[in-house]
Amino acid sequence: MSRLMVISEKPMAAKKLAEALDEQGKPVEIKKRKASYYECKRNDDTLVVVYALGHLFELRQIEKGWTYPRLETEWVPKYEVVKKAQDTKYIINLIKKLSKDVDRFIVATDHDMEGSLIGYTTLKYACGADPKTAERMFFSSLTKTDLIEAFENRASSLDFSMINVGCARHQIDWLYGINLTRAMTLAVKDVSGWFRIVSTGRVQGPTLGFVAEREMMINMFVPIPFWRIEAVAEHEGKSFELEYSMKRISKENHAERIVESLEDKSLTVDTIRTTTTLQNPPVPFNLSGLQYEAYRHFKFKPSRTLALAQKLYLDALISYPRTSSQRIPETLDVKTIIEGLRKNRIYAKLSGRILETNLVPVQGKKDDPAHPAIHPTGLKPERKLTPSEGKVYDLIVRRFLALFADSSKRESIRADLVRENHRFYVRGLRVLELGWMEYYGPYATLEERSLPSISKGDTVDIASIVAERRHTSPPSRFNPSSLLRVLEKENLGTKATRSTIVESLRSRGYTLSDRHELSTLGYAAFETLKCHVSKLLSASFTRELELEMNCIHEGTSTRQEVLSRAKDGLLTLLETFKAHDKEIGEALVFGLRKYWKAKQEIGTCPSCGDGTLNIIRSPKTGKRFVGCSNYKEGLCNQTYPLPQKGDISPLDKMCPHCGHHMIRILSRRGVWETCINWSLCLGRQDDIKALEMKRREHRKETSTGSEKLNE
Amino acid sequence: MNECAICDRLATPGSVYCEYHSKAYDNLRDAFEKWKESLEIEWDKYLKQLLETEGTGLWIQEIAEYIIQQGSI
Repeated sequence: MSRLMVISEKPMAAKKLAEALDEQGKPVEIKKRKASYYECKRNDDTLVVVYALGHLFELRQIEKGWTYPRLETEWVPKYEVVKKAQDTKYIINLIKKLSKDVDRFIVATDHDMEGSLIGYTTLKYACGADPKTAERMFFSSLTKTDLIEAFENRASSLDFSMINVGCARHQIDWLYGINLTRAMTLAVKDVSGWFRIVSTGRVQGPTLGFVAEREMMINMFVPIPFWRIEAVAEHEGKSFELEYSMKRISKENHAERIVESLEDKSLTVDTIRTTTTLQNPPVPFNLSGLQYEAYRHFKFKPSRTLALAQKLYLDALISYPRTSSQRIPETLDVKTIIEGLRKNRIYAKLSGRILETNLVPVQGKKDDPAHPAIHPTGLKPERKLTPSEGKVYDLIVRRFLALFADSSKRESIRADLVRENHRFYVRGLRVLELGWMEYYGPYATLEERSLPSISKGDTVDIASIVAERRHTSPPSRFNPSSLLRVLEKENLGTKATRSTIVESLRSRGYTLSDRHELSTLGYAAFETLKCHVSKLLSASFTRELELEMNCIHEGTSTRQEVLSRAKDGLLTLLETFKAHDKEIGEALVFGLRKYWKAKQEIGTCPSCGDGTLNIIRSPKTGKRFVGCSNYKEGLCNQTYPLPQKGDISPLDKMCPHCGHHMIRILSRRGVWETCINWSLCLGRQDDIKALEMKRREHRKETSTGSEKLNE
Repeated sequence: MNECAICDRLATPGSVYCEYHSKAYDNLRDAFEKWKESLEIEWDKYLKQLLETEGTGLWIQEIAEYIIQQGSI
């Protein structure tokens, strides 16, 4: 009889592991101060299931001082580096204590780079064990079957190549992020005396580059005019729109000539062509596919989708979400999964029909050796899912069911209507067989258009025809989803880190909204890097580092070799920084000043007409309000109250009701615009009443809810 | 070096504009050729129309406004 320690990545995963591995299905949870572990019995052995909280150990510089370069690091408990991570102290101490009385160690963290590294550092630094003697469980879902199978067939050693890549990536990201951020921050401090973190990093730099270049294209865009023929035809008392064969006419006089020659004329139906096309089901979800689709349908940011998918994974409802794979392996028991889904009332009918097929899913191109594509496990939720979790779960289930369905069959009809050398089209579209679209449900939309009842040789009158002037449009700004796609296409970052990097641009003040509009600070950072260390904005530089890291996995380079080359590259960049730190500091301070001004300055004070209204935070109460810059001189005491929650941006427009400056508030509830005079503005009273009503209802609901709970 | 006539960046050598506004000015000139082909339009009318057209870039608007104010090319 042995005592084995199973190391999992998160508390919920530990619970699932313990429940699955205990022969009675009833593990004992033992609580020790602010941490706990599970004890269970299996094959005469005692299993001690412990958990980490993500990384329990982090890198810290060896040499002291908040300066740069700092190239030598060591692994230390996370609570020593991150003040907020005090919970990790109890967990590390508990693992340390328990590991003294353990015969063997099994790592059961997620099978990816981060998971492997978490297992390795926990083993090495918390357990004090030799990682070479540890065993490894590999699984892609937290279902009982998968976990038991992973335990029974566990590998006799850890995946050291993955650990080495994870370790190198962690160290390189730390080195670049910490040193370059310090170089920029200290350049600002030296010039202005302010301590304001101005960050950049290995992937953040190129991401900023993509956003800035797009912004410049938009700022330098000149719309070019073109004309479109807009025509409506009439036939047997019914009117319908016509589409002219030339979509864009570049010259005004040409467009006018077309209109003149067709006004009050009739067209003849020349041909009616019907084509039938088959559309295959969409491929299985990998993480970016899921994030893209969740943004498209629910407007969920990629990071939010990942967090929701992670919760569903920990509840054993879906497979591991951080996967690149678009493939469902043959070894996956899809029949059992669909039978499980059949027990859910919502999917019962669809699952039943899928079970009648030969269960061959459509496959995508991308593969991931560690995990299959995201799929449901077939288990029924044990708790009520939140509305957002429910949406993501439904999307995953329906996509999975759609994989086994037939192609959808569509019929496109095009009628060509002619007069002399002019040609118009009328189009119709209908779905002949829904196929997979029925399973994908609300996520597969297709607008059907019926063709008017016309036949070949019919004459159709042109009821109206005009040449409408249009202009070409600038490229659109990135949204969180499209920026994520660019990073994926450029192979920058990993599937797990991309969404955080996209968010960091906003949290650092480089972009102003989810539409990734570049702020003055963003411009300043971009211009400074472009001028002095353009390599940092280059996608190819970061990609080269990624390729080097892949060499560790392939065995063509060692971790030390890659790390040493990365350090050399970083030192060269830092030397350039040092040589230009005054110019860099001045440029960044310039950008910061403009950024703060834009964030705080509302406009001219309507009361004194001379001062400037600014957003001010009271040093006494910490509350924010709008005040006039002439207050200090005792010339004006005009103030306006402000909402205390949310991010406020001054707008370049005035209230149509009272003429005061407008502001935009971005809060967790969404974006809304109001004027600074909102408490008195007559035009806003309805809004205030609606808000009060909403609050009253909310209070009522809360009190009723608590009464029910008390009952 | 002088400041750009429009923003507070430094003007590029031999120009009154900074790097970005210089590029914007080049775009403005190039696009004028296309507008002329399409509309047979005069330069000043072109600038005014651009200011009223949706999608005109911020730097293009700034250059157009500046040129109109200056009353010359």
